[in-house]
Amino acid sequence: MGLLSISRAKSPWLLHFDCGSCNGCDIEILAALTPLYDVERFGILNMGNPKHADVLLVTGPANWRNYRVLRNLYEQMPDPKAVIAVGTCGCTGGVFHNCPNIIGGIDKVIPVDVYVPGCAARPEAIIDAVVLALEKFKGYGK
Amino acid sequence: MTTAWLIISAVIAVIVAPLVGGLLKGIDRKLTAHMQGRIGPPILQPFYDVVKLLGKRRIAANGFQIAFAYAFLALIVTALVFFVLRQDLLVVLFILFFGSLCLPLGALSVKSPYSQFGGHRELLQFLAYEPILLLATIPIALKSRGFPVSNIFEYGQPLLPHLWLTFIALLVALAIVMRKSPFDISSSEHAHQEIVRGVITEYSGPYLALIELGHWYEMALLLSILGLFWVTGGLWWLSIIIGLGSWFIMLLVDNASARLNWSWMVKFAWSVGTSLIALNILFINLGWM
Amino acid sequence: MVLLPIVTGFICLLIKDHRARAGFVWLTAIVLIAGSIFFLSQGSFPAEYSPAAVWDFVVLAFNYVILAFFIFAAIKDIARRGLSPHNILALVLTLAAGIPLAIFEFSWAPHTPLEVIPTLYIDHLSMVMCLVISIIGSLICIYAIRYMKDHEEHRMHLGELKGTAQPRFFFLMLMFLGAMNGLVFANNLIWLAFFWEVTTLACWGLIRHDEVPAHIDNAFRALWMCLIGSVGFSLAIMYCWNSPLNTLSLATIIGGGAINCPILLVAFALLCLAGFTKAAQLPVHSWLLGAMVAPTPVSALLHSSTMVKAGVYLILRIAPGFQGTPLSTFVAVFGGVVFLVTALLAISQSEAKKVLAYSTIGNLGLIILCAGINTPLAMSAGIMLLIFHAISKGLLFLCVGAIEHYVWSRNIEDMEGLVRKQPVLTGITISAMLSMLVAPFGVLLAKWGAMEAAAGIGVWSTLVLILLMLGSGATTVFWAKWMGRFLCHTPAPGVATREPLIPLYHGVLLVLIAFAVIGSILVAPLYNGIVAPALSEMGYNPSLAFGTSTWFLKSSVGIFAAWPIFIIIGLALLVPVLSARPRVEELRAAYACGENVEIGADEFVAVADERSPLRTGGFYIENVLGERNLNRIIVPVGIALLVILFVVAAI
Repeated sequence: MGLLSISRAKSPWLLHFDCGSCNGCDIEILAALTPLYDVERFGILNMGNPKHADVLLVTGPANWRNYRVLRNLYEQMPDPKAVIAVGTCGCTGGVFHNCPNIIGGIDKVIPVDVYVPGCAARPEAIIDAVVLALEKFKGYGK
Repeated sequence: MTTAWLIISAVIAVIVAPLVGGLLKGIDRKLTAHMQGRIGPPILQPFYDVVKLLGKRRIAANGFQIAFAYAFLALIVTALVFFVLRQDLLVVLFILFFGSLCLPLGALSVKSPYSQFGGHRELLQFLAYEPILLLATIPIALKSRGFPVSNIFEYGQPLLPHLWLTFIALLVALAIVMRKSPFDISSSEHAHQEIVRGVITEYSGPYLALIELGHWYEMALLLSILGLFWVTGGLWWLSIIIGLGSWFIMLLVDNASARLNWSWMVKFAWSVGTSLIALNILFINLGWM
Repeated sequence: MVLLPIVTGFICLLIKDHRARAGFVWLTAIVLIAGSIFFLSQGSFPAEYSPAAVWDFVVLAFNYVILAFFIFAAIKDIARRGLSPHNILALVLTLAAGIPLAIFEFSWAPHTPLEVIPTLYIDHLSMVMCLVISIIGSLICIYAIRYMKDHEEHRMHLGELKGTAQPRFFFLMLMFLGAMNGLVFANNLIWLAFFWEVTTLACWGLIRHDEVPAHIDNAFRALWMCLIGSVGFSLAIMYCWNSPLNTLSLATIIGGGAINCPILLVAFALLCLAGFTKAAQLPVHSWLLGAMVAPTPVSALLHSSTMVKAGVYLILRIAPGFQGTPLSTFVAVFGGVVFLVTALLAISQSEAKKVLAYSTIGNLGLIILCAGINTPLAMSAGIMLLIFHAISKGLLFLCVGAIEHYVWSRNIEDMEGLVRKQPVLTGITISAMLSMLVAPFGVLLAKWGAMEAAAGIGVWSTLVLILLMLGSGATTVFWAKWMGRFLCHTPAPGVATREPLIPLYHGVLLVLIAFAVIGSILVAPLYNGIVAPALSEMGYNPSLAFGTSTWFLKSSVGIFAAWPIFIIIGLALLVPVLSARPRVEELRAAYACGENVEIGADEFVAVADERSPLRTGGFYIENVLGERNLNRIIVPVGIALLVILFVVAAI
């Protein structure tokens, strides 16, 4: 593997977007970023800015109000990028599936690479998901 | 120092400086992590970051941003080259300032509220540290009887025992230039978010990598200027220790303090910086130093 | 050289036709430019010249005519608009200037009019000023042809103006050029005072050109503040006559020097006062700010390139006279204070011309600082700063004038994103600002020289250096802020079109920016050709200033490798400039939390899915650095400083 692939795998920068979540998964994501789990050892940094981010962590289902914002943020991220849907709501709509305002899971709006089920998803699962997403970077461009 | 040797050392400096800057940044993050009770990233992490950024697809908000990112890097490298060529210290600083100016100009060229805020705040940081850096050249020039860096080498005696007040003022300026707490007002390094990302909000991918490289060169240049305070007497390794020691002090201060506001930064820098340097000049006059 | 512009100005006053008047302006311009260059290359300096005695009569008579005209204008204004502080002060100060002069000339002087040999004394310093006046002044007048046409069309469109006032305008402008040439050539103090009055007259007339009440008030304010200087002149004349030297020849007075003849120190202080008021230093800086309401060519000519330069020219010329005295140190500190204060004030201004005005006052303070330091290195820095600042600042004023005629506003906030609509003009303006600010251009070179010259030991030089460097930081902030406002735009997909080029606007601007760049590259030959001879004629040793081997500027304490820096920076900037064109698919909108409407639209989606315009603005920090707050401190400080000036001189 070339230096570029290794670097991409070793330096994933996150953008965390709460799409419609009850904040349960968001709390777990923020817990993963604390020194207890220390994700910086993988080079993971939480950037608040799509232009700097490689990995988009989305919680909550997509609805008719915020799907536009979600797509806008996705398009402002430069390639290569990966999307991780965190929590059951992000995967399929979860508890809110078929509710009036809800479109469904995130994958109805943008392509998703890794799904993390759970309500709320555990921090260890979230870290595992990011590491799994790195596999996509390693193979990018081939 | 013959011309050929100077040119070779300039080329070496251009190649080695970013390596040193990146390594220092990596050690910075590792030490910070240990101070915070965690493990932290590998030391080579900044290099992985820069290579990854270089490999991203190019996007930009407008053409000026791209131009200013290149100009930032190019001018700081130029300043470093002039420094290694032992030119006039004030001229080196002026070229450095021109380069540093390109960063907020690029940010200000994008019509985004975060970028505008960040750009203006970067100008305020500039307002805080530029006078101190300029003023610090005066005691150095008084002692070495001239402004060119070559004079400091010819002077033959170490500067630090006479100019330690100026050195402290330069440490304050260094903290502001490196954008470390309590002065990380235009774009925070450790917290990674200050008005989104402040002055570098709109840069991405390869252009962000250029700016990161520029910051590494800038750090190498400033630590070298600090290292000038002890370059003679056969103890050349002492200047490296002084440079690294100052960097470590910055690290400690960064981890121990929180971010403060810009008006405090400007007032603090101006009052502390000018009074320390004025005292130093006064003591030189009186012959005490 | 002196008479021609006055004559053609008079003709312009009489001609009604626009084109013929323009033709005379061009004629004057070409003659002035050619004449000054010819004079420089042919003449041997210092040249002395004494015209026939009848001219002394003419000067004497016209001096009183002008003073009487001021009194008449003040009275007419009082009658028409009632008493105001400005016209009363103008009246009082005219009398204060005229009466001592009359007493001197009619009772003290052995015979009237007093003859001084030589009447005109021309050395390289005068030639520097002459070139600046003739070349830059002529270019500004050519620019003014088109500018005044647009200006009057605009005002007629707004219903403010009935008939054309251009004849009077060009008369005053051209007469002013002639008077300035006379001023820099004069050796007889009475002639100098006369030309000083003529420039004050032109200043007053041009500020009130638009005949709006606020402008008339500002004109009278300028008048009385400049008249303080004239009072200084009159008293200085009396002092010099009473001194052991017993002469009115400026060269003799300077040559005698304050070291040998301490009573002359008061005379020098009075002349410094005249220079300070003309150069709008503290505390009389408000007249220059008020004068910004005048049409832009006036601001460019009078208030940046030439008239205010007359003030610093006087101080530079008399600097050898008070070398080594406490007055000299004080002048340096005064210049430094002005530099710092105006730089801070400029950050808070959002009106473009006021920013330029503050910057001008600051740079004039810097030249005065150099004159105060009074070493060969400092004096050469001061002269070079004078040249380069005149070019760059005149250029900037003209750029702002052209911009004003496009956006019809002088507010920096209205100039946001101008780079998209007027790329050429914005490009020239930004280049001009860079030439004022960054290495390796001339203004920075002079600032570098001033810093190195000030690096002496001693308490006062430390203070001067602190003021200089703090001010330097502040100037960077406001220039960069303004440049950022120009560049702030949202690129829309599509090819950016160049604006239509207007020859009289863009042509002049391009010529001036070419001067700035070429002058900065060729700074070493420029120094050898003009500045070094000027130094030696003034009695300084140029070898103590700069040596210019291989086109570097090498002083005893520093090196400024001008052309290598240019080349290396040019190469360094080549890649950025060539790469500044992103492809369309690369463009992304600015980050707005995901609420952008689309690329190229300046809007974001706000409450209730409504499209809301995206607006940005600049930092002006009015509550700390605003005029209201700072002026309260500065004006008393300035008055105190002037009082100390005289106390220092008297002791």
